[in-house]
Amino acid sequence: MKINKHLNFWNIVSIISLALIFLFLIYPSFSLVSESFISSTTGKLTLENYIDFFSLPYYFNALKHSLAVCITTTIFATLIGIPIAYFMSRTNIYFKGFLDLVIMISLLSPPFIGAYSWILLLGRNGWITNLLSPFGIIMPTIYGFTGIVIVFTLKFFPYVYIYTSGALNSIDASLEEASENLGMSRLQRLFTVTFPLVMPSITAGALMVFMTSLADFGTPMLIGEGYKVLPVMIYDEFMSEMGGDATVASTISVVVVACSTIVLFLQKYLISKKNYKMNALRPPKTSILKPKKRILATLFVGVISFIAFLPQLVVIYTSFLKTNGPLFVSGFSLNSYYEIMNKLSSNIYNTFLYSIISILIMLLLGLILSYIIFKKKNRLTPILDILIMFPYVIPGSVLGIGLLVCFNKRPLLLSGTGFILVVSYIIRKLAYTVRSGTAILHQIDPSIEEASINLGVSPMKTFFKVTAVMMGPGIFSGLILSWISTINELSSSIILYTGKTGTIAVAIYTEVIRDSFGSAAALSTILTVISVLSILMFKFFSRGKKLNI
Amino acid sequence: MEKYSFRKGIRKKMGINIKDITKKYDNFIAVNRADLDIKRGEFFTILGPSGCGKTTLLRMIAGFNEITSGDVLISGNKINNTPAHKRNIGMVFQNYAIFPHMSVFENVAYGLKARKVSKAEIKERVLNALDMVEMRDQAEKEPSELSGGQQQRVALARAIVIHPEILLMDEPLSNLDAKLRVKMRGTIKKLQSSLDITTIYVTHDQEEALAVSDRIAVMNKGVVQQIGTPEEIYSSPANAFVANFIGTSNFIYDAALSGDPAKLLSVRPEDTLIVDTDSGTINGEITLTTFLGECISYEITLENKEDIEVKVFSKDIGIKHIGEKVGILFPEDKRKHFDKSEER
Repeated sequence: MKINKHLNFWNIVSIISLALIFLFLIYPSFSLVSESFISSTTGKLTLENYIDFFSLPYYFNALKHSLAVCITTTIFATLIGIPIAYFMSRTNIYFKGFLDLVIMISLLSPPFIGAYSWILLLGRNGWITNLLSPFGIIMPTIYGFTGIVIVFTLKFFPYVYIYTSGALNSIDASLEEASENLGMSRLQRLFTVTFPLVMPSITAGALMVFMTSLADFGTPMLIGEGYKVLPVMIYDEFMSEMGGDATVASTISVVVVACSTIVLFLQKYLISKKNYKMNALRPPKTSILKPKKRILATLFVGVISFIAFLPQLVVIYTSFLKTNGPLFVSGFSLNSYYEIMNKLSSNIYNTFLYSIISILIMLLLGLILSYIIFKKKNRLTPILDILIMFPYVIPGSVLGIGLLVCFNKRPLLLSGTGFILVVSYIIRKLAYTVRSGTAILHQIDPSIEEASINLGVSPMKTFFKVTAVMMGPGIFSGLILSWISTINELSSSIILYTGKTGTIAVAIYTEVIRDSFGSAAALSTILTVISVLSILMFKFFSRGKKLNI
Repeated sequence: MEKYSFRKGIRKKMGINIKDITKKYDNFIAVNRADLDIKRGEFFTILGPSGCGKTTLLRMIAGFNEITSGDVLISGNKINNTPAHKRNIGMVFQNYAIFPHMSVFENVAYGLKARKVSKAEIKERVLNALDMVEMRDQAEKEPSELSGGQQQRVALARAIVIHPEILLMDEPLSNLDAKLRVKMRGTIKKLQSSLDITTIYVTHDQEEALAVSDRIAVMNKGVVQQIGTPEEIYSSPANAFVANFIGTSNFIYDAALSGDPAKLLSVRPEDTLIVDTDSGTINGEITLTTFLGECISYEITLENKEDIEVKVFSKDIGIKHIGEKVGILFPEDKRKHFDKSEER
């Protein structure tokens, strides 16, 4: 009787999910951590790897570089993101819907495409560089620190924009009216009421900028050149240690995860007392700008969005250029597309196969897990909740290395299979779907389910007939985010792929490294087109609702 | 004729016995040893301030809250361990809980589909139920197109269409505006008596409770204070809490007037009389006069510094003004003495 009571559907699912998470997330992470405490020469427990890391400038500089890049990027992205959010949500600037779409697309395209495009534009042999050099204008170098920060800022400011505009839209109009009524000017109002209220969201956006730029591997790899940051260092060390034990890579991985965890908790601590629950009863007012100001504001948002979007245009344009081997010749053609169809069709096939499988599993898991976390609270659910969000602080390359280290020998020989890629995608991207699931569950009145049960439908059936159906649209928006970031995934794929299991993102990377820009551009165009279509689908299904990341 | 056939669908009219029922959350006792016997076909109301445990009690009957101890019996059968979806109890939720992804018709048909009723019969019964709440012409609408009052009607139709043994209503009118509330409570009362269905109604609104109920149980802090007809509860409150929760009462704490330091004297404002100075029980001074149309309400500070309210019909005596000294008479037969400890 007692056992029966605890062995219901939900508990079984919780236990299975926990077991899988332990196998594919905790076990690999733990292996990495323990690896980092073992001496590579004597095999004994030691701190020497960490002592090396912090005492040898070669390693320690990478940490300094990473922090410099991330902090600078976060500051710039915040400074750009806030005014854009304000203009977009509170003023009547032109082309709002279009600009929003453009900003979304630049966020959701693969980051290294940005780096690659900026090299095409401003690199040593870049179009703009070549265009300006006859006039004696020397552009500052795009490689190294500057380049990484520019690409990251343009790429990640949308996080600040999304979080901040979401919060700006949820402030009840009466709060600002009260401030106005009490004698505050518009600017005073902004600084005494509006910004303090949206501060938690701004910091949440800034946190996302920091963590994604800390974890990103593709951009610094392409554009950083000698300026090495931690994820690049991890990759290099891992590749040179291949076959041996991944001691150094593990040590650096632990440092990266520690950095992002500290920043995460810092942000949570800073806003812990300032999180206001707001539900706009009356949506805030849109201020009507005078024509001159309106045009200026539109230009501000438009120019930044355009620059952020420029890499996509460059890539699409490049993909149609005529090529001769790795060289571009004058005129347009579909050469690059023929080439990828011949050479790289299996990568395209893999991307779709792995992503679709991952996404279907994420849909099912997202529905069930968000429901368990939100509704069927038991002793396991808080652990489940934290573990699902854990991958936020683990860079893809770190998880990739962990999986590879753990599953490259029998009985669980998974390395080199597509399965291990699917596992890494699910572990890394499931959080989007679960988060959107719990977000929508907050909005579903619990008495709706009770009404169904009261009318004679069992709780299990009620979940599938009522709750899951109502969660559909919300889950779907999270699922599209998961989907877009899965097809664009590079940092764990680059570690886990083998010749047979390469994906589009991997192929773009290897083609760029091989200077085969034409086919890289064609592949990027495919990803961009799919991403744009997915975003449009998202817009259509969410009916104007804001993106929830 | 239709109504008759509907009634025939209910095989038996059920009574409910709630025996010594308790609900504990960790250290908090939400419902403390409640005993209620509800007769067949009765309109029974559980009335109390928010947090008194009335909704918890209702949800234990519906099967949404586990019972810590005690029994719930329907027609003599213990249902403590029957899962909520097998209890055949109709329920109307405070916020209606209309399924947003189904039309009005589908909402009402939902419980019948769960019972595997044939398609033709579903159609007949759904339309019949919608008829009873005057919503037949709205059957194809989506919930988002309905007003609050219309959603309420759909919720009611959805609850009665399954021919429940009993009907539970959790503050069903609290989200409606004042006028609609009065109209809907009439609709509910008429429907309940024409279907002759045993109903438990939960509300914090004493006026609503007095208007619709056959009997009322007044609850406070998890404990049932008094059970009786609306008249009994109003005219013979069992303790100070009931006396002040149902209508209002003046409480005089002064032992010189109540006669016992542990007791207080309770007289309703409409039973308290204004007389000439020195000819009543005690003298006082008017501190506020409020003209309410058919009656006037006075706030009076007594000589012993206690404040009371007196209500008189406007036409009875001339209006008195702030600052006037008056005598106050508490007629012997209107006086009640309650333990001070039971006031809250």
